Amino acid sequence: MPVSQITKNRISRAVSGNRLGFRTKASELFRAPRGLSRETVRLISERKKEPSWMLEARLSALQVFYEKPLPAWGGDLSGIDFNAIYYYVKPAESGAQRWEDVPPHIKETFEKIGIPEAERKYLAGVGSQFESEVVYHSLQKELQKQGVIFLGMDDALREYPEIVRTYFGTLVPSSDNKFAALNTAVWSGGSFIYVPPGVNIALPLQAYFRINRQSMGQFERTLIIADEDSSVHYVEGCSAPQYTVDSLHSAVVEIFVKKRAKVQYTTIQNWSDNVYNLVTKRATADQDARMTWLDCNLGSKLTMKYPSIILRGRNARGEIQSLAVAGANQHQDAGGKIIHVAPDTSATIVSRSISRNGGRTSYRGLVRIGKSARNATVRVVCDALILDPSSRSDTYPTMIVNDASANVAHEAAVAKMSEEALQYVRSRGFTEQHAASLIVNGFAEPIIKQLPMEYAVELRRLLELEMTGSVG
Amino acid sequence: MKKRSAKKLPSSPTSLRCRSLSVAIGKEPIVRCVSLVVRRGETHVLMGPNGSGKSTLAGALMGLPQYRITSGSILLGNKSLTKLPAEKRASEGLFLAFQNPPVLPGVSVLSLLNHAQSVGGNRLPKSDLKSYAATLKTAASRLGIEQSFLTRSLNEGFSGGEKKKSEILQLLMLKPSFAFLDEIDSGLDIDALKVCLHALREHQIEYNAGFVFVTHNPSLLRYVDPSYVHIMIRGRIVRTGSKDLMDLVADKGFAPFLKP
Repeated sequence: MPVSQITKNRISRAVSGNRLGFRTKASELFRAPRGLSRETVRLISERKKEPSWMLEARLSALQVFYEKPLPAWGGDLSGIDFNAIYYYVKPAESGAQRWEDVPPHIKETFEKIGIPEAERKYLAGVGSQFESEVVYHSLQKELQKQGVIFLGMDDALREYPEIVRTYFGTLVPSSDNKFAALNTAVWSGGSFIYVPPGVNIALPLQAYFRINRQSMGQFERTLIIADEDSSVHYVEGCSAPQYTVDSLHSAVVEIFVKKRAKVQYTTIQNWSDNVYNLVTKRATADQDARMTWLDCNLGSKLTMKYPSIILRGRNARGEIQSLAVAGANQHQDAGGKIIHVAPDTSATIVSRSISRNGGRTSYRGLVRIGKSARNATVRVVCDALILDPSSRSDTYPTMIVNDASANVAHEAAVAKMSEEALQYVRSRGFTEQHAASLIVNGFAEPIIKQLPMEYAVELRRLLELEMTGSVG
Repeated sequence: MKKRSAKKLPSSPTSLRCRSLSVAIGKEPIVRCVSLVVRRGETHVLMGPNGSGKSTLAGALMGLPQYRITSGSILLGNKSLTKLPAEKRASEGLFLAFQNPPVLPGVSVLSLLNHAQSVGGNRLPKSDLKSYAATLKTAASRLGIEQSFLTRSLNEGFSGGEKKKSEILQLLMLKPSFAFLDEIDSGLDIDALKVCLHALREHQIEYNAGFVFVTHNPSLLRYVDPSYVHIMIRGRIVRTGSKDLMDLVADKGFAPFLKP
């Protein structure tokens, strides 16, 4: 059965201790030299045969990147050596349209991740990023008939330059933060989705991302536009082989949810624990629209990620649900931002974090209610579970409320694993590790149960494996 | 089910005993030199005023670590359980229905029992999970438990009665040889109590289980037919007798036992 096969593959990797610790030989056609410079940026743009406005956007972003200091808050970024990173690697194989055309060793990599089964069994389309370029891309005919565009970002820029130009960087300008600037300067790959008015895509669209080159940055750029009355669910699952040299993943995701449209963006992030994962994700929701971020962060050395929603149309709704698990040498600094600028808007932020083995989780959230946002409602719930005395959890909530009619609720709770609960479960025949695993899974369940089924199954098993290997 | 248990019975130990057992919470001695023998098929009632050490004794027999055994031993047949952790005692066939079971957010009785099957190992092959689910549903309806209850977070927002039913449901499903039922009568209304005790009795007969009811309320005895009644005062069992002892307690309280 495909689902169990996927799960099996992932579990065998998790068991081996280095999540996804395999590597496939990729023959490169072209690789830009290490390090960052105007020349590198020009080279990337030239190789991709981009329109001149994109080159200009890249170059001006590079300038911003140079000028902005590293953020002084959040996690420790001092370990990143920007000059040691390859910013662009293009595999010899360029974009294939059909599965048969994908070269065998790349297929092998995908099979290890479980993509073919996932596509056949469950998903409507696949966009997979192998190193810096989208190599394989497929879209079910039905979607094409409906006028849905689901392409790699590079292809989208070639085929739909005007749409890309209209939206690109308007929600996350390069001036937003140092890493958004970096991404804008050197971005490569990522997904582009346009859903026409009234089209509802029933099954989730999916993309897998991998970092497969030691010390290679990955800077994908994703743009999703859900036109009026449409709906789409996009699933992004990240995984990376384990290397000793630190890697950098810095993505930008921009999502436009038009009137009455619905978008859910689901992430399962399981980078190996030497990866810096610094991602800017932002969405706008127009009148009666609904935007949901569902963000699960298990891996990486340091994750700094705060999916944001700007509720700019009347009665727009936003939801940010996140799960963070931090083990030894890991810091998950995650949370969310909600900006209310229109009346009758409502939002929910739910954050659950688990820290163990000296790991650290932080919830960092911002809620801003503008003067024009009459009758806004927002609820923030963050719960942290700390499994041992060497682990840590912090909460950094910020609320800025400029309208008296706002209804704001914030609940935060930090709990140690309850000894009483542990003993109770053990008295039912569970070892200490299995008991802890059951309790941790229960804690994470409210988030996990919202994932598509196969991801939920996988995540539960991953948590179980991590727990039974670490406690006791 | 019957076949399985019938096979299991002959090899199962016929008695659980504790010898001169003393138990402390922290440094404070609570149970003092208690000896007790429970044979399979027997029903014992352990009575005593609040704070007399009944729950501590039950918890120590189950192996909960906050109850520290300072001397004495616990034997199942010839096997010593004294040093075994709770999960090992559970797999040896012991069960404790908690007086105040803790909240387990996100963990339902269904998932607890499903996992208990695979963790316990010796109970059910995975292929039987479907019939297991059916058995669970039957057991639940026997106790008047609604299906939706099975997937709720354990003890989260449960009424007193629901907590007790959930404990008894777990007992019925885990099929222990010996079970301690701590204040099972508190929180249940009289009709629900009758239903639960009836289900327990049927179960006891079917699996020849030894039950120890822990209570301070003699009215429980109207519905159970104990082989022995023990009176516990200040950590010691001061009197063991028949059902008549309960009538005495019902009539005069624990006062007659309080004097040395």
